Amino acid sequence: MACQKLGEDQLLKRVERTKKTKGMNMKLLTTHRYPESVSNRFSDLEQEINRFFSNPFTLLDGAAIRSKWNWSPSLDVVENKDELKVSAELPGMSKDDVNVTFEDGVLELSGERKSEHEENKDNVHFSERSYGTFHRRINLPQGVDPSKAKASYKDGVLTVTLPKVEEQKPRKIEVNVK
Amino acid sequence: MSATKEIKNTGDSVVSAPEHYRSFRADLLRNGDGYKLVGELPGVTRESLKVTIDEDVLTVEGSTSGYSDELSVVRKELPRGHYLRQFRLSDSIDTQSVRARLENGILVLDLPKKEMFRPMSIKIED
Repeated sequence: MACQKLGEDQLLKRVERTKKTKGMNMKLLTTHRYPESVSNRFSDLEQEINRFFSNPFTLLDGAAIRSKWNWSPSLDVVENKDELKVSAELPGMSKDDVNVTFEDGVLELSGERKSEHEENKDNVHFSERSYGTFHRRINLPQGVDPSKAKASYKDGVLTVTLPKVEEQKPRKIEVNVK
Repeated sequence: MSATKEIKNTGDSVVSAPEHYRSFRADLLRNGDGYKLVGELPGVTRESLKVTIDEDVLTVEGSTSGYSDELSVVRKELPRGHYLRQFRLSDSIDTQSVRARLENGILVLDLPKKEMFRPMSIKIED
């Protein structure tokens, strides 16, 4: 059965018209396949939603507004008594393309991944990797010393290691009672 | 006609995969001479990476190292564990000449086409 190309407003009009006439027709019309223009819009929306949820940016990261940067790398934060380690997945980057900065107790990773595809030469069958600028901010807990931080890049994982500062020993304050 | 179709990991995979296997992101590019599959496998070591071709199925698997027990996790987003993904290769690919290299967590697979599938221009006769 050929699918008629109806505009959305036309479809609504048809529904209204049949409502007035027979209840039976109304049922037939609503189970009819949506015209191509409407179903395309639904699938576009679905794709957009999937893309939105597959991009990991967290609530912790209030500033990771998706419109400002193209993507956010996933990261792990682990610690032991001596240090805190932040590992970010950044495969295929070179050291020049990544910036690691600290400010006001916030660790910031930013940079850009340039596309290796040459527009004219390569025909892209599918592309799942993220390209463009990326940005990620992590609130650091108290007790880490950013001045002694070290960053290393191995197997496509950037690891920032922050040593913890010596905990202040609890001081006993003498109370003088006179 | 698409050159490589993906086999779902759990459904009709040639290798039975345990549940904790994860897929990885990949780009598939094509030029006249063949295809290039670029996969993101951050944290996967060269030793654990296995690329195999069985008839027309290409399998890529690798493992990342976990964290030692002494470390406690503050926040965890990275899919530690095992990556597994399979692709069905089209007949135009010369499976004998497939090359793989791993650098900085990126796996690049060169999948050249067989000679007869490469583009050729036909000379117009007088």
